[in-house]
Amino acid sequence: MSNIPKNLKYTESHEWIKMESVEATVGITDHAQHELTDIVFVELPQIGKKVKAGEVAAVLESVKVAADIYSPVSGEVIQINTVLSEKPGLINEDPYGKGWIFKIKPSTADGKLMDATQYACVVGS
Amino acid sequence: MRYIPHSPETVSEMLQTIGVSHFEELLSSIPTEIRVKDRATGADSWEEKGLSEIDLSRKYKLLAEENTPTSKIDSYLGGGAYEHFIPSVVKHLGSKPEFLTSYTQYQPESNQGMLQALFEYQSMMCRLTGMDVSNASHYDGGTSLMEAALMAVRRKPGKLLFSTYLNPMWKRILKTYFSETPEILCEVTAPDGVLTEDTLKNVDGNISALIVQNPNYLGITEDLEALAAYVHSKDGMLIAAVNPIALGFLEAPGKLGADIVVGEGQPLGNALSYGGPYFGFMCVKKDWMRKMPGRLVGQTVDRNGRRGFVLTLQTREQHIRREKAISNICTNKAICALRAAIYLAYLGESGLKRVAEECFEKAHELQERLCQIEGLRLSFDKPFFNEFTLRLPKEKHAPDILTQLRRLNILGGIAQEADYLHLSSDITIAVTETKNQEQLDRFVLAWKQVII
Repeated sequence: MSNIPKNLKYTESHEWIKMESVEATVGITDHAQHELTDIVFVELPQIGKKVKAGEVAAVLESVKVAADIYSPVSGEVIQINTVLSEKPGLINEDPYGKGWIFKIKPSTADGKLMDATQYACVVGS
Repeated sequence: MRYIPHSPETVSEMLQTIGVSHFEELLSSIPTEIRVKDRATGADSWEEKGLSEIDLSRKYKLLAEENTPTSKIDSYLGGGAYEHFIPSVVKHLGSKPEFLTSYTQYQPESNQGMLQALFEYQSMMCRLTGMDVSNASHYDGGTSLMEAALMAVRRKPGKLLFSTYLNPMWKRILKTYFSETPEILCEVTAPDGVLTEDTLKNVDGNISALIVQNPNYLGITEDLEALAAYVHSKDGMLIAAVNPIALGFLEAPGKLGADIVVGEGQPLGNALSYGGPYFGFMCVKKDWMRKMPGRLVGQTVDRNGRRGFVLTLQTREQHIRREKAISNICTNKAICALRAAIYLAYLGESGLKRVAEECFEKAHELQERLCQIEGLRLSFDKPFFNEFTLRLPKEKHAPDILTQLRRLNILGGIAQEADYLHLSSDITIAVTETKNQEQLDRFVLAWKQVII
């Protein structure tokens, strides 16, 4: 059973997004970190990078695979979690907390996000 | 052991399945005159039984005798491939079946011996170049250079600067790879034979990297440190393409500011061998580790705490990252790199230094003696390592002189006119530690005869 907090929105590609007033925080779900296994490297986006919803914003490397992280919404990257460069394992330890990946300033409201219940169906838990 | 797994029954069943009555029908599109003929009957034969071992040896011996190995002619050819002495330990250890049969590592971790050898190769290449990380090798020097150029362009799109005296074959490889964006390739003139800030600063726009071959194609050493400082001030990378033997003598490029060091590895324990197989090397600073293409061997411990070797950082590679892999040329030249590792380990630091010093000293002795001959001088009076470019008197045609030397059983060097119109009477001569005094004397004498 993976942990799926109720207060977050989710994508089919297993990112979570936490919407706040003008910014949103993005990370990967507990299910995703479990599937990826030990994450050893994070390629963070550059601050100021403009991404569209569904575009690659970051890359994670685990001991067995490299996985693209897609931005759940369109907007501009305004902050990145630089601690991950030194401690990529934080994504495994605390995917919804210290393991956040980047913050984005959304440019439009995107409608394709799921709530916790819908995401739970996707991952079958 | 049968090498052809299909019995006549299987073959006829296969033919039946695809609706063909005879195997020959499948060959109908191949002109008959180029098909293999049965030696006894002269009939078309796809089932030729092959030659006996005696006949085969004879056939290949005759073919091999058409070669001109450097054991039969006194060669002063360089230009990227060099005749160095290869201690017999290189051939004997490098030919051990345990290494030869583990050449392709589809199950890499089962070949601990090969991985250890490649790990040691990487460690020695890092020490030699003054860099942090070496991969397990590339196809050849040109591939390494091209991959380094691609790394630079991925980091920062912009121009790739290189001297007109970059190895012309490497220039052609760059032109092939960047044929869709030829505007980024920027060949810089070198009026004095070397790259200088004066000519580089004429290039405007974004600079992705400066490629410096050291020594360059004419044999002249470039000022890597100054060039690195210049290109860094333009936020570009410095790619150094070096002769590894020269590093026994010259400062490691990693200590002079190079971001990527590449080169042709052949001089390290690999025979000239008619142009291949050779191998390329690539070493980078740690920051570039994950952006570097190619296989990489790492040292680790198993669950019992014993030392072991693994392929590491494989997420860069195409079997994991598919179309997003850093390169789709993932093959390394394990056997050639292995020979380099044995060669370097056998020579050690002091041995390599001695080889490099001998190359340097003999080349300089020869250059001084040749330049005492009337009409001969250096094309550019600049420092060089083991290769120098001579300018003949105007009325002499370089290829004619080389033909005359050839008649004296000497391959006298490379005529530069094929690649450089303005160097129509220039010949580049390479000297290695393999030359003895008698050969050098004979070479000088031969030049005196042909230059008159």
